[in-house]
Amino acid sequence: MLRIKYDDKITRMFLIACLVWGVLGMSAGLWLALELASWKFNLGLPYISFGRLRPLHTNAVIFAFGGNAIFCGVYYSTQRLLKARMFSDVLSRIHFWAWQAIILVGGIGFLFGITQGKEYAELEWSLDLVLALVWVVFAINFFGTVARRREKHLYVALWFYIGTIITIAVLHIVNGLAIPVSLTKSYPVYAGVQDALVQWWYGHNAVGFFLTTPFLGLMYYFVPKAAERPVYSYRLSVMHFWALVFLYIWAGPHHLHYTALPDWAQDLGMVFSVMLLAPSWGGMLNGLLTLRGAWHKLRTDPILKFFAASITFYGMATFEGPLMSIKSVNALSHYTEWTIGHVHSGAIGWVGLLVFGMIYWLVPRMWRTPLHSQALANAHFWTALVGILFYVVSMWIAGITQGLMWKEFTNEGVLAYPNFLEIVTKIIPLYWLRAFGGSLYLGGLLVMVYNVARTIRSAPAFQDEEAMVPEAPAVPAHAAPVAQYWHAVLEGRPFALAILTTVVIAIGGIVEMVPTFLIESNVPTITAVKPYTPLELEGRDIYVREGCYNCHSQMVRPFRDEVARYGDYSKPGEFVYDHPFQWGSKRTGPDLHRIGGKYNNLWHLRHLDDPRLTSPGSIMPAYRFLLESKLDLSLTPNKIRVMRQLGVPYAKEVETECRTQAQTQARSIAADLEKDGVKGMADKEVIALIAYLQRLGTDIKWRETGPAAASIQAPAPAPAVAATATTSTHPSKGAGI
Amino acid sequence: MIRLVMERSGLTLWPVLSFVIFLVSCALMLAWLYRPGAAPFYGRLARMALGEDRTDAEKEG
Repeated sequence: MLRIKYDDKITRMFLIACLVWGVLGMSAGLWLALELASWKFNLGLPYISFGRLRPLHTNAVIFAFGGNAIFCGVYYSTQRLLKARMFSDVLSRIHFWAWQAIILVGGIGFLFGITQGKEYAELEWSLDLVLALVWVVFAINFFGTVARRREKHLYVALWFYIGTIITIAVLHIVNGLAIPVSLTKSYPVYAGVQDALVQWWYGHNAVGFFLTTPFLGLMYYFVPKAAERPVYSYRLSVMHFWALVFLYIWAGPHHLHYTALPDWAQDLGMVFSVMLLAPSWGGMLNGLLTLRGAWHKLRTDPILKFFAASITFYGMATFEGPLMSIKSVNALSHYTEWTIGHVHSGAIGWVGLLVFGMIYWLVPRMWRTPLHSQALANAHFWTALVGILFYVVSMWIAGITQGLMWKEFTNEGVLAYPNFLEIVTKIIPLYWLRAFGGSLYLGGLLVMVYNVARTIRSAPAFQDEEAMVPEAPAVPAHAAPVAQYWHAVLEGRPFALAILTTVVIAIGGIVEMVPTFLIESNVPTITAVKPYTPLELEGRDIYVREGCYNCHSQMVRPFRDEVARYGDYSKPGEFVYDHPFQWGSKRTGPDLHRIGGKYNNLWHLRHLDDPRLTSPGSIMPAYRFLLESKLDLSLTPNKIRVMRQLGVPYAKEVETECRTQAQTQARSIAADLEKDGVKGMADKEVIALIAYLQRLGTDIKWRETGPAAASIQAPAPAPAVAATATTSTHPSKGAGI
Repeated sequence: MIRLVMERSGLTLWPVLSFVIFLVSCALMLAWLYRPGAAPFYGRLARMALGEDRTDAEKEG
C-alpha cells in the first residue's frame, strides 16, 4: 500500500469562495426583489437599475456560488474516488484564481452595462474566451487525474462530472460565437430565430448541465457518505445518466413556445421535456431511497435534512418543468412570475440546499474540528426551508394571477384588463412576500457563514488528509478494467465514455439546429424588413446595455389577448437582423415588439425620464441619465462593419456615412421634441433609444388591419440603409387567434 | 446535399428516428443491467463512495 496526500487546500479555497459569492449573489437577488416591490430601491443609480443588476445576480449565483460549489465537491470527491491526488496543483490554483477573476471582472462589467444581452450568457467575448481557457484548464486537470488513477472503475458521480465538463464546453463555445466590435462589445453570429434557438439550447442546458448534472454527481457521492448507506440502485444510476444527458439537450425550445420559432422545433422541445420526467424522477427516487434505513437520523442530523429536502425539491422542480413545457400550460405560464418561482425552487431548493448539506459535511473534515453549532445548522435549515416556501408560493400565485388577468376578456369581447399596469400593481404585495422569503433564505446563509467561520477559527493546525492506496502504478487510460461486461468496460475507459457522451449530447442539438439554419422555409424572408439605421442600431445597443430584455419581451404570441393588447403577432422574418435577438423571457412590463409608433417621441422621453409621469403606478426604474449622457458614435462605423460581415445588407458607404446619418436622424427627432418645448436632446443617448423603440415592429404594415389602427401615429421616415432588396416569401405561420 | 435530404424527407423523420434509437437503447440497456447474476457486481459498485479510502476513525482504530 502507498500513502498519498490529497490536495484539500483547493477544496477549502473553493468552499470559502462559494460562501462569499453566495452571500454577494443572494444579496443582489434580495435587492432586486425589493426593486420590484418598490421602484425606489433603484436609488436613481444606473449601476444598480434592475436591468443591470439582474445579470450580476444570476451570474453570481449560478457561476460563482454554484460553480465554486461544484469545483469544491468535484475536487474533493474526484481525488478520493480515483485514489489519486489532483493531476496538477498549479492547474488547480490557476483554475481557482482565474474563475474568481472572471466573476469579479464580469460582475463589475454588468454594473457598467457591458453585456451581450443573452440571458446567463451575458459575459462579453473577451471574458468568454478566458472562461473557455479556464474550462480547458479544469478539464486537463480532471482528465489528467483520471489518467493516473488507482481505481479502475469510474464511479457514477464521475460520469456526471465528465458529462458536465464536455457539455458545458460545447454549449459555451457554440452559443458564444460572436464578432468583436471592441474589447467590450460584440455581436453574436446568429440572428433572430436562430439566435433564439441557440440561446435557449444553451440557456436550458446551462440549467441542465451546470445546475443539474454536476450536482447529481455530488448527490451520488455525498448522500451515501452522509447517510452511511450505499446508493439505492447503481443500475438505476446508469439509466439515469444516459437518459438524462440524451434527453436534456433537446428541451431548450420549450422556452420558445408560441414564438416565431418553427412549430416542429417547439413540439420537439415539449415532447422531450415531458420525457425528461422519467430519468429525473428515477434519479430523485434513487437519491431519496439511498436514505432508507437512515430516516431516523433526520431528526438530529442537519446534513441529512438538507439532502432530503434538496432531493425533494429536485423532484418537485423536475415535475413542474415538464408540466410547464406542455404548450397549453406554457400559454399561461410563460413570461409570468411562475417561471421565476419554478427556477428558484430548482436553484435555491435543489442546488442551494444540496450545497449547504455538502458544506456542513465537508467543513468538519476539511478543518479537522467539529462544527461550531449543530443547533445553528438546524436553524439554518428551517429558515431556508420557510424562505423557499414563501418565495416559491408567492411567485406561483403571482404568475397564475398575471397569466389569467392578461388573458381575461369581458362578455363584450374586449380585454378585461387593458391597462397592463393594473395587473402589475395587483401583484406587488406578492413581490413583498417574495422579498421576505428571500431575506429569510439569505439570513439562513449568513447564519451558516457565521457557523463555518467559528468552526474554522477553532480549528487546530492540521495537514491535508492522507490515504492508503494500492501501490500499483496508476492505471493507463487505455487499460481495460477487470470487469468483463460491455458497459462495465466502458466505465473503466474514461475517454471512450467521454466520446460517447459527446455523441449522445450532440444528437439533440444537431437535429434541432441544422434544419433551422439550413431550411429557408423556417424563417420566411419579408421584403419590407430592413436593417436598423445607424441611430437605431446605437439605440438598440443602449437597450441591450440597460438590460431592458430582463423585463420586456419582444415577441407577440399568436393569442387573441396578445394581439388585442399589443398588435399583430410577431413573424420569424421580422428578426433577421437582430444580433442578438431580444425576445426576453419575462414580462414584468409589457411586450415592446409593436411599440413603434404607438406613442409619440415626447411620450417616450417623459417615460424614460420618469415612468410615473406617463404610467402612474409603474415600477420601472427612471432612466434620467439617458437624457444627460452624450451619445457616443465613435464605434458606429465598426458596428456597421461587423454587421456587414454578419450578412446584414448595409450598403458599403454606410460604414463611412453612418455617423452623419445618425446625427441627421437624431436632429429630426430632437426637432420634433423641440416643438413640445424639450430642447438640447439631439446629442443625447435617449434620442437613439427613442429611435430604436419607434422602429420596433413597424417593418410590416400590420396597423392597416390591426386592432389598434385608430390610435397609431406613423413613425418618422428612416434613412435608407439597405444595399439590396431581399426576395419575398410571405410568412406562413398560423395565427391561431 | 444535407439540405436536400432534409427538405425531401420531412423534418419529422429526424426526431422520430432519434426517439426510436433512444427507446431501443434504453430497452437494451435495461435488459443488460438486469441480466441474471449481475446483482452482486452492481452491489459492489454502489458501495464505492463509501469505501474509497480509510476514514480517520479507521486509521486511529
